[in-house]
Amino acid sequence: MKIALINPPVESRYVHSIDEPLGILYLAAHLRDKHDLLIIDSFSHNLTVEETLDICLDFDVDIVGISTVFSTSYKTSKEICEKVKYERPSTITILGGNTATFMAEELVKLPFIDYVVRGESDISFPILVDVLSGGGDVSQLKGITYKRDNQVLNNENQPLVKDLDSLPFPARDLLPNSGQYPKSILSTRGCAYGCIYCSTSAFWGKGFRMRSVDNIIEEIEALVSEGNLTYFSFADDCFTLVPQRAIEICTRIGEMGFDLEWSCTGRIETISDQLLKSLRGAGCKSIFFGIESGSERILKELNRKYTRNEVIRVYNLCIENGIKPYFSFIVGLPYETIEDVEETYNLINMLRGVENGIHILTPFPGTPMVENSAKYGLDILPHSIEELDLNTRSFIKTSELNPEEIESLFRKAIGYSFKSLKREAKEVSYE
Amino acid sequence: MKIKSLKAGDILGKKPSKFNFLIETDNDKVIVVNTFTGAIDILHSDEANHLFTDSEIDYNSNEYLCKRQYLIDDDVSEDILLEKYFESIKNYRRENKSLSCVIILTFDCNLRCTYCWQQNNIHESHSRTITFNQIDKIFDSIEKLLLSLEHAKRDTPIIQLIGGEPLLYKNRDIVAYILKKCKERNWYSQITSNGSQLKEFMDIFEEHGVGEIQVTIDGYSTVHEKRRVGSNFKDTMDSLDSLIQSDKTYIKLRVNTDVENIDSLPYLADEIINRRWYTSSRFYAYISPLRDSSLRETKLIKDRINLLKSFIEKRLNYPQLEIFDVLGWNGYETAKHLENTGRMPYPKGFICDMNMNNFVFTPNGEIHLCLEEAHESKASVGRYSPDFYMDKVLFDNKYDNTPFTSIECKDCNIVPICSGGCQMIDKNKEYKKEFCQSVKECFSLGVENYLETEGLI
Ligand code: SF4
Ligand code: SF4
Repeated sequence: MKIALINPPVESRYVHSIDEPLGILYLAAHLRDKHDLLIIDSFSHNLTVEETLDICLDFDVDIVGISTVFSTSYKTSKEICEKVKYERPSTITILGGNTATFMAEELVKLPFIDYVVRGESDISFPILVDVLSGGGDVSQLKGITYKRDNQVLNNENQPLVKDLDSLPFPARDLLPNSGQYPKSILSTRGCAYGCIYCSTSAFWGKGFRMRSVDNIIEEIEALVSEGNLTYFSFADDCFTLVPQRAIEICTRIGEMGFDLEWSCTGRIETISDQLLKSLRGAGCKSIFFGIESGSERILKELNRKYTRNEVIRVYNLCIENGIKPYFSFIVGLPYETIEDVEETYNLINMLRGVENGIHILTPFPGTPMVENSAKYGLDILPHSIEELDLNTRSFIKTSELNPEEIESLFRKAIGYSFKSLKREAKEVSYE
Repeated sequence: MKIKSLKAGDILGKKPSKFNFLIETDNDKVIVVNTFTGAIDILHSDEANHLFTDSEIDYNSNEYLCKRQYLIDDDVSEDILLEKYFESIKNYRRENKSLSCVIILTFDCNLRCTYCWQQNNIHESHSRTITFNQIDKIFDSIEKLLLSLEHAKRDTPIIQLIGGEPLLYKNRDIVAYILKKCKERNWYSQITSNGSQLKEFMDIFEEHGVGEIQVTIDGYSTVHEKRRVGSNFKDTMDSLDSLIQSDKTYIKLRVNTDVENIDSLPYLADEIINRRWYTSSRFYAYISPLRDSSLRETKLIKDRINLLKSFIEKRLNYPQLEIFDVLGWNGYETAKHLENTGRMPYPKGFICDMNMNNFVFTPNGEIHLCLEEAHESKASVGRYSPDFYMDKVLFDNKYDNTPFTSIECKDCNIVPICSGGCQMIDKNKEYKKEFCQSVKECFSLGVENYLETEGLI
């Protein structure tokens, strides 16, 4: 079969970064021996829907598989399927990824979308493709949503991959211009926290799975031997979740003796001076932390295991250890009042010389706050999926704030984050 | 806030530094800044008055002031030290500065801004556009300048197109020609425009590339259109949106600011945030005080301090205004550095662009060193057409000018940070007086504001 795996374009775009489409690359690694594959990274290369379509048609595609992770590519994913079906009706269209998973039924109702592979698809997608190429029956396949006789059917979930070490490494060599991409490594899947605004747990399933340190080091070695690996990132939801494991990875990276620089994600309560020293020693240059709020009250509501003083402690430690921290905050959280948001502003003012990303609480499909909005006192207003990633509008009325207030508080927070970034980083004293 | 001047006193072979600058605050404190060394201290006003005005001061009790060099040895000549500093840094600065070549495409403009100092008669009498042949000669002249200038960064000259309005539909071919020449040479291109006809040029930008476009606007929608007669705010913003999304060109948004439009700035900040431009690494926005380059009126310069004050106050209520950098308030730049780093910057070391490898090419064949005086033929320092020549005496006079040739600057206690500000202003003493007052006030306001924000006063 000729299969095009597509990282779809987004509608409007102001930040132009290129990231390895890891989900697609893992699938490609499973499929490469049996099928003729073409990876199209429209997102990174700024291709339009039409350009993506032309590439598919030139390839004489049999199956189009689109990774609809972000809501800003929801519309473009649908457009690609619609156009490819129009031009080549025999093409089978399959969507996967976070947004597709949680919008599976709506998507499959559309005449031009045949299947949605829900959740982790390392097992289900290759099986689906095999069955389709053999003309077999899909009704027993796990993890898929499809239609039969105008009825949408949700087959039972596909169990998760138990042993992540059993997975092949992502097929980076099949990615056109792969040398241009900064490399990403997924050392874990899932997340232990289940934050209300995040669909990770619903997508990857409950529980946190880790690859062995040996397996991770093997992937880094493979990347080094392919040449030119100078920078990479651990794209996990939380790389430092198990500090001892992170330290072990650092030790092993150090022992490799290459001059590598990398970044990762962290959680405040997992950070110690010892861990930061290990990270720094192994070449870690920056860590991303989701802080969400500067208000103690809201941190408690969010079940956070850290206080704002601990955020400052970690900021100081990072500065001291020469690691650049990135923080992110959310405005419009459940129960948040104007005074709480002002606490967030105060914290941002203290975290100088670093990027403080600001987000509006957004009802992404599959998140606990959408599934259980009443529990959090949230009234989710009508919206289209495409608008969700824009991060300029609020679609939620909380028990304390209406969308206009949230948007206005958000814009102020953006101002504070600019102010902080202009300042030189320096250690902050706190009680 | 009052700005005090110092009275010198003899203190056992010590004298006060001539660069001590005092800012009296409302709460009985005096901020002492040495604008040469960058030292800053906060004193109680009694203490400050005593220390700086008594003629008989016990040296021992002033050890601290000596250590901080507010009091210096009698035989030290700070003038010589500062001049030496200027001399030592001059060539280093120039060697790190690319040649900046401003091409005035035309004095003609499609808008008639209410405040424009280039009066209608300038627009009309100079409505001619530069020719292709002239452009060739300008590029040849730039090659010659690159070879002949002793101190300049030589890799990539910056070619800046300006007007009047350079992006007029009738100028499409010449703009395309210039951008193509830049691309062939790998020279950096910049265009300064009112943004009203940007969309007519998108295909040209796409084909030849353009490094940077600076668009000047006058606040949010209504006030912008009222002042920029003939403009359409939404059209301009939409064109900028396409350019920012294409991620090929660096976009600078300059907001001309005065009392009439300052209240509209929060709306403009909101619009920029809503359009998500702030997330782009190729977007930068700043506000700048409206300036009367003809130096006919002193009103705008007198208003500067109040404008800055009101912006800083407004920013407390509308923190989204932080997305605008604040440029063009001479004196405040230094305070801004202090705000961002906690340190005073090194002394500036040059007066203005005229000292810094800046060349302006006019439609009538002249070469100037300053854009603002480019409409005055007698201010030119050479020609690129019919033949290239530079008048060495005229050129050196401006290029190597230092603040020490001005009587006012020579004895000014903030000359290390201001460095004279603008060579044109020296020609108009009344204007200069107001300018200097404004520089000191803006500096003081910035320093006081910084110390207050840090909880130090
Ligand atoms: S221009 Fe005025 S403020 Fe600036 S150094 Fe000269 S005298 Fe001082
Ligand atoms: S003389 Fe004044 S206007 Fe001209 S370059 Fe210098 S500062 Fe600018």
